[in-house]
Amino acid sequence: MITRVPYVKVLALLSTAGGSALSALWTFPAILTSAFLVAWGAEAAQFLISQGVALAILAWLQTLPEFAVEAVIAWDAGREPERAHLAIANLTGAIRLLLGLGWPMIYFVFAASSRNRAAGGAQHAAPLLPAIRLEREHALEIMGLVPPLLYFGVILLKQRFTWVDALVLLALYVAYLWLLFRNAPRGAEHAADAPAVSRWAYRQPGWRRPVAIAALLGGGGALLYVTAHPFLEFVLVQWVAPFLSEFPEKVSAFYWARRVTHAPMALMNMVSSNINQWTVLAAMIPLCTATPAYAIMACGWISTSTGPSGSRSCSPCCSPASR
Amino acid sequence: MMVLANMEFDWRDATVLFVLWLVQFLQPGLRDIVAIAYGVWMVVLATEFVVGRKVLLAPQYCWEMIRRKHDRPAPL
Repeated sequence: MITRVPYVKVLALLSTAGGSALSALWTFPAILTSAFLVAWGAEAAQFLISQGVALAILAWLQTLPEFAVEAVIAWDAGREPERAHLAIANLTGAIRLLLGLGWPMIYFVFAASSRNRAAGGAQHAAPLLPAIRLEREHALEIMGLVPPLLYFGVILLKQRFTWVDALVLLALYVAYLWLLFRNAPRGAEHAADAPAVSRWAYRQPGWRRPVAIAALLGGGGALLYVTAHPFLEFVLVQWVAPFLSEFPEKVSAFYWARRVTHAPMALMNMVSSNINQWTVLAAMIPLCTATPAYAIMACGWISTSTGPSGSRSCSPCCSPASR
Repeated sequence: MMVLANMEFDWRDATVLFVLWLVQFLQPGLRDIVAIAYGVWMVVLATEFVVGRKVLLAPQYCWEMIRRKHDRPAPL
């Protein structure tokens, strides 16, 4: 009996490890599949609606796991105010990861692919490190970053983040979407550059076309959410959770960056996700908590207020480990 | 936003963003220094726009896109 107990423990450990390995076997391909489905859907959708709107829909689908994580953390923070800093930590970690890892990786994948193409028989020598040149219509996404960033300056100045700020951020996102909607879809002549699945969806006759595109986007999004959700229940906030939840975004962005001509679209995918994070994802924090307000220190640390009278010291959440 | 305001993303932009992220990832205690580095970089970018070394295209194109009336392409 004495020897059996460790034996059982080892068996349990092995079975758990085996289960994890088995689940990794199917979840990883499933996440990849979902990332490709939504990317193909977005590529087909840009011929029906503007590319900006297609990318905004894509950003929504890709950030679904992030929303799930943020909602859980913010909800918990409402009940346990000492956990409030985790909500901001997850948000800032996600933004930092997209900007600091996502954008540069797109560039380096693009540059490497450009070199490979040049070596593969281009007529003239390509520059060693070419720049990604954005199209005129992408200016809307770039300038779309400005209002939420400026408004976050206001939030930092007043050191409070309330549901009113959440509504302002949501309104900024709606205005941004409205501007994107006014843009024209891509011309059908560009459809030849799209991958076969996107072309198939776009070439469906009549009502089947939007249904096929919606099926790609919706199916990919649903698969992504169902697959990623169990992994997000263990939350190592700020680095691991954002990395896991942003993995699908990076897959589709790198898929486009590799095709060189689609590198601007890959970059705009990231910018669209950034705008989504700065507005809707951030707005979820005060909306999902029951606490009356957040007081954000200018340094980016956070504490919850104890009531309308004022905010508590942020010392418990200012330890390096909690950042 | 300022990084893309000239409607280009080149190796310098990518490298600076990546290095600053990596430093903060490996040494979270250096976040204040990294924040200052971001600020300095923004000042450098702003200066480049002011002296004309880089062209501030994004606001101009954005305004054109907002004002433009779009014709929807004919369906297939």
